Amino acid sequence: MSAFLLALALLVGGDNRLWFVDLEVRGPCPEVRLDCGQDGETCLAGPFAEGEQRRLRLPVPMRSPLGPAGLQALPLPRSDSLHVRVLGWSPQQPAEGLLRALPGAFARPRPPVLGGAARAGWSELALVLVAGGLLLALRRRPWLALALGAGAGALALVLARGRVESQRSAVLIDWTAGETVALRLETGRGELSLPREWLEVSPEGARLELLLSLSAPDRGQARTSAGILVGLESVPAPALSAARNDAEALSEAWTRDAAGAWRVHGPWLLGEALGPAKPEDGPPPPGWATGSLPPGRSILLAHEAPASGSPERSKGGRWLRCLDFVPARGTAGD
Amino acid sequence: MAARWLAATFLASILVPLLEALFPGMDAGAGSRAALALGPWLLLAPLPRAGNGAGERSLDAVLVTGALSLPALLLGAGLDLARGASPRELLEACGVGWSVLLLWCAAASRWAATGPRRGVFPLLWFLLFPGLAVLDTALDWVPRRTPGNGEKGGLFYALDPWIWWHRWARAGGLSSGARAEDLAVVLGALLGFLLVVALARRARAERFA
Repeated sequence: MSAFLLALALLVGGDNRLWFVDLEVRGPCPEVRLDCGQDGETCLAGPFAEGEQRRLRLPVPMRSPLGPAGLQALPLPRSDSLHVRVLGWSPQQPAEGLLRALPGAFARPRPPVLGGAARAGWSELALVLVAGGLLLALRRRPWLALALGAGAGALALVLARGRVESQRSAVLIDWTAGETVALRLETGRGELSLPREWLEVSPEGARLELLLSLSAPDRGQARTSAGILVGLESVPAPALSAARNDAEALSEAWTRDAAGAWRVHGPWLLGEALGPAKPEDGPPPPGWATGSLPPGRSILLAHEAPASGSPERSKGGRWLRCLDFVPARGTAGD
Repeated sequence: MAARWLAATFLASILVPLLEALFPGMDAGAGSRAALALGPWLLLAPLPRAGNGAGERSLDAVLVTGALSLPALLLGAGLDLARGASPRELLEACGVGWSVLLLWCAAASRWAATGPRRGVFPLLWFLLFPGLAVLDTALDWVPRRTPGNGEKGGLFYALDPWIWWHRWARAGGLSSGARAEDLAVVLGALLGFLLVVALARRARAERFA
């Protein structure tokens, strides 16, 4: 059964890149580095004191095309340090538990990574274009041209390096009404808080770095030089029913009935019941959240948009999606 | 290279960041911008053309090509850094790519300056640029290698600057860390240059004999 669930998850999502190994560390050493070859590495910042001996369980970004069943066939991550001994793959892999608890949620549509990667500004582009014209004019004086090319290039590098990525991550909490566990899914470009159970990267096979610190070895950062990261983990299902919102203030809510018609309900404040459907046209639910959802089931979709000017604004906000959500009588707008 | 070729290659090297700035909705993917800037130079500068550097000292032609490739290359490197690329890996890739460009450009200029009728450099270029790339692609279509093996044929194919460049330019290619391939592409360019120089000297000696 678990093999079937794993196969299903691999079909609809990507490979998990969060597998755990057990290891032993004997101090003194400043940090633990586990080399996973082309797949990347894990770095746990220490320090470990003289005489200190610890047994740890750390995530590594290895690819395992056959999932947990194929781990034993993979070479163990290496450590160059004599103070670190990798004992083997952990018997308990959190990814297995997540697949068992929430198999269907993997297949549902996911939030896109908003914003985009850093791109050149007009100042450095103009600099490079002007430099190109000058260099063509100076081609009879090659040494001067080389110096000018290097200078203009260095300046363009400094300007371009300062371009900040409009990095926005998005979070989706996805669950089925009546269940106690929800799937929390976070997407980000280049960097992401390390999830506890499942990590995907696109393009598949990209090199990953997992960065942890000794003070909180179960929490850290996942990084990739180019690509989109998706972290998945199980969380308690939000306390949300049509009669009362005990989860969080939501800036917009939509419901879909079993026939597939979407309705807009507007903001849904904390502690209040879901408002009636607005007869006038409101903003439609985003396309990514509504496509490929199971037919014949009622659904709630809600969004918590961070306030303008808040530091959280740089993120894409939180989305809540509940399957088999039952609207209270009179809220459906019929 | 003639001025119009230099200008065209320069514009091609800056095309991706230029188009992305002009059209904010456009995204040319997650590949290295420094690699995309160097691509047109690796494609066009070492082309065995009659008149490629003829009439000027080969060192001058190499310096001008190197100078003109630097602004776009470093602009791309800056963007890669802003996107989170590792400075050490980026420095290695840019250094290798630029050195390979200069060496092949020097070989092309030397060949053009000593008499384009001699066919050694065009043959070398044909074998090591399009030849290996076509061979690599063709062999990918037959089940010669293990499916799923990410390696693109190892060191032999890394002699081809286009194959090496393609590995670097694709998303995540910068961090693939294939040092041996970096070394192979530089050695291939160095050997190509030395061969052209040796043949040019021999041709000159024959002419004066």
